[in-house]
Amino acid sequence: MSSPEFSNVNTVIVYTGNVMKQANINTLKAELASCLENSLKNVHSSYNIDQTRGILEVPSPYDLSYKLKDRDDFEITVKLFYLPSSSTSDDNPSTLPPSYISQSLHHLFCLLGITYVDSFIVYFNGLLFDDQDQDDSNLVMDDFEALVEVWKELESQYRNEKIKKLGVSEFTKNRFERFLDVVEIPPKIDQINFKSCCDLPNRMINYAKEHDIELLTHKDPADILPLATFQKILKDTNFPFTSKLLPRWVLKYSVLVKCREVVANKG
Amino acid sequence: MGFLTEGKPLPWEQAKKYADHIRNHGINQFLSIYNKTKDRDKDYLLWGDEIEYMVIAYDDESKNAKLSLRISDILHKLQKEVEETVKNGEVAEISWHPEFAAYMIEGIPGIPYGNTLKSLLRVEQNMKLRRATASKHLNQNESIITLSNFPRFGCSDQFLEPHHEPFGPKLKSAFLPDEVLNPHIKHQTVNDGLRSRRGTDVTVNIPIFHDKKSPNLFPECEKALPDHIYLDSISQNLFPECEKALPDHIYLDSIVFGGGCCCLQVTIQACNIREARKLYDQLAVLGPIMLALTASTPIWRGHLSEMDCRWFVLSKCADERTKEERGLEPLKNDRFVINRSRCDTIAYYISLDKTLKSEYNDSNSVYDRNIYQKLIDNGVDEILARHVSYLFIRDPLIVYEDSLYQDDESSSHHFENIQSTNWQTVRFKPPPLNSNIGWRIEFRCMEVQITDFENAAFVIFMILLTRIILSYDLNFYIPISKVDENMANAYKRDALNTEKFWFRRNIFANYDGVEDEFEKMTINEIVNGKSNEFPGLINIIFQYLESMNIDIETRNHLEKYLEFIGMRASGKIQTAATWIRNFVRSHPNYKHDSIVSQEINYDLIKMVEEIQKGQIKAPELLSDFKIQ
Repeated sequence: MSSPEFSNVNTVIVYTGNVMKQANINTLKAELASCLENSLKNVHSSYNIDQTRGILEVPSPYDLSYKLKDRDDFEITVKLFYLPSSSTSDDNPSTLPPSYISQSLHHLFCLLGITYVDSFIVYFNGLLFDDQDQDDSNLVMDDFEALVEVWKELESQYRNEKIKKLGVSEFTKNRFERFLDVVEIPPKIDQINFKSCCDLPNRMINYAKEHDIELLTHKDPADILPLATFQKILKDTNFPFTSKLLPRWVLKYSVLVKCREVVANKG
Repeated sequence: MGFLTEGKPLPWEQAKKYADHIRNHGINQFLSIYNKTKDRDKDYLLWGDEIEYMVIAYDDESKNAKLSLRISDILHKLQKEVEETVKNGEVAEISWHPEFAAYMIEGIPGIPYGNTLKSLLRVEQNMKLRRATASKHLNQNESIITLSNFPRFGCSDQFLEPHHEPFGPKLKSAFLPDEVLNPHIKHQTVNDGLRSRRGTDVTVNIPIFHDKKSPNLFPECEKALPDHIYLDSISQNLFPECEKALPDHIYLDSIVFGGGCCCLQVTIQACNIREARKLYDQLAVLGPIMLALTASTPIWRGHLSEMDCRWFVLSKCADERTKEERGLEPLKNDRFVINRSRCDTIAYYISLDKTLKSEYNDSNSVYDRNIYQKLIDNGVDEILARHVSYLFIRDPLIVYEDSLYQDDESSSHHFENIQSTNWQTVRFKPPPLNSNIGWRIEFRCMEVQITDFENAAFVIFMILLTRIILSYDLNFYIPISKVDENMANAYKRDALNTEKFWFRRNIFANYDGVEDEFEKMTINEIVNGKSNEFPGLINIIFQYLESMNIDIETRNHLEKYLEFIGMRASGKIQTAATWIRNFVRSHPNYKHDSIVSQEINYDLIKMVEEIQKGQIKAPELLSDFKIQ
């Protein structure tokens, strides 16, 4: 079933709400899927629509308006995942639209009532970390240029004081060196996938220490929102125009209380 | 024990006259502090740990390991070192204190740890530094260890260096010489106060562990008919009240058996009073769980017992309730019937959270109505007023004539007098006067472990537990009576693997469903989870860590500590208590009679020392976690 008001919609933004309050101890992938499902199930009772721009916002049923007070007490970290279907261009499927940066930031700023984030980490789909890699062979030239374009947009946001620290994800030493040659503002954070069974990636650790890069860890899966999962959720929740929607990006945010190490909000 | 100032305390007969005076002024002092500090907010996450150590003197020729009484000398040297450091304008990394027993020394970090997760790694470092620093002042034949109690404490031969005979005028113990008590007058005063007030000597009977050839202990005592079997919060009718030694039980007759146990404590600063009250409640529920996880006290007076923890003995030893107060005789001289020892699980929850239902506070412990009313009249809410007026039913044990009259606006000694001699599983600590320190919680019931890796792991686990309680708004509430039941089960032999504990089924506060709120779970289920039904505390911690910005090396290190805790909880590796039992029972010298001979004790202590130093591997206890 499709509602007439949705006929002009070309963009849908779905919010998970504060995951910390949703009793959901699970893998990130499962957490995301179930939160999306909860929000989409609820769309007919609660949504915002911007008819002129064609943007439909689907809030979370758990989120009572959460605007941050005392912004300085918090540290906000976001990570943007470029999904496999992020490209809007049929000719060039490996394009990574830099516009997702400003788009995702805009919605987050409205959600939390803020004007800047402390750290912005970008994950380029398909990148894997291997401490031993010699020549970064799995990153071809076209892809690399796409990364740099995205980075230029990040640098612009940084200069506009919307982001205090820039970061990348799954960058090896070689990747870093290649990157540093062409960008103006270097990444200050590299977030890599932590595998407890493996040895520590000493090459990267040493490189990070020499270049004053924070080497953080995460357990985010490479495919945080598979297309099949997304389409199943749309189908299960009877969301209109299921077949035309493709997931482009996921923005993961954490609001941490400084000096108390408490997670105030995460979505 | 925190509160101990200088000067000569009054003997009990005189001290008790000032009980009301001290209580009244103590409440005034509390009100003064409360009103000045109740609005403190945004205090940082800071924490500290306390470990109590013993020094062992070996006599290798006769294969005897003894408790060394050279502590005061060693302590003096250590404190001098700290003074020198401070005089040079440097920060002292460690602080040393005397303790109740003459063979114990307490070491704590010089400044608190905090306020990031990265500083969790400093805990083990500081603990190692403590051992290294103290070791410099030991003799060739001495070593410093962390064991909950000394296995042959109170045995009839030589367990002290230098040796002394039992039954002195101070302790009047059949097993312990007076010299085990710290000679400083204040400890003697506490000892006297507890004894005099109670009116009888301590009588603690611990069931012996029956092995194939275990003796019938004390066959020469008349079969003691219990004077009265009563339900108290600890024993739950399991162990009859008795003024004498019971057959088949290990009999202890002095406060020092309890007060002389070493333990591991953690103090955590909350951001404000509301958070402190919440953490107090939630950690109180976790008390029995952590006790069972850290169990390391299976031996008393050289005999294997049916208990794995010190808590029962500690609680009984510090219990100065008279017969009237215990409900054994009608009230004539005393004011109240009190259903808990001074050293016990908490009597009342104190949080302001909506999740605290009044039914959870079902202890029906008496509290001082006059004090309660005074607190209410002065702006304290009912819940906190009840907590304070419960603590203040106790008499002060140490009274200094010189400092009876204080300015209640600028002194907190009378308040601390009562506050610090209530030895509950968790303590709610208001900010000290004129300091930058905030509201804190002290978690007091964990047993000390053999190695610093383990001690650090448990401290870190407690800090991370508080972070997930706050981040996820967790709700562990069960009725106080259920917490008490858990405590009575926690110290039983191998409780970790054989007992089940009441625990809340759904710990996420905003669950709306109607359900039986709690059920019995094993420690493994509580910590590691139960398929889809219960996530397990460790898994919530792991998920919390995913949301934090942690560097890879810190994350890797924390993972090791958490893995260790998870393995202990699942029974894959043994508690210290189980490991000690197995060591004794598989020793070639062991005669299957529950007796830990001098030789077994010597080998055990040596092994403990070598494991701590990383010289010997003990995979049943520590898997392959590296002890450096």
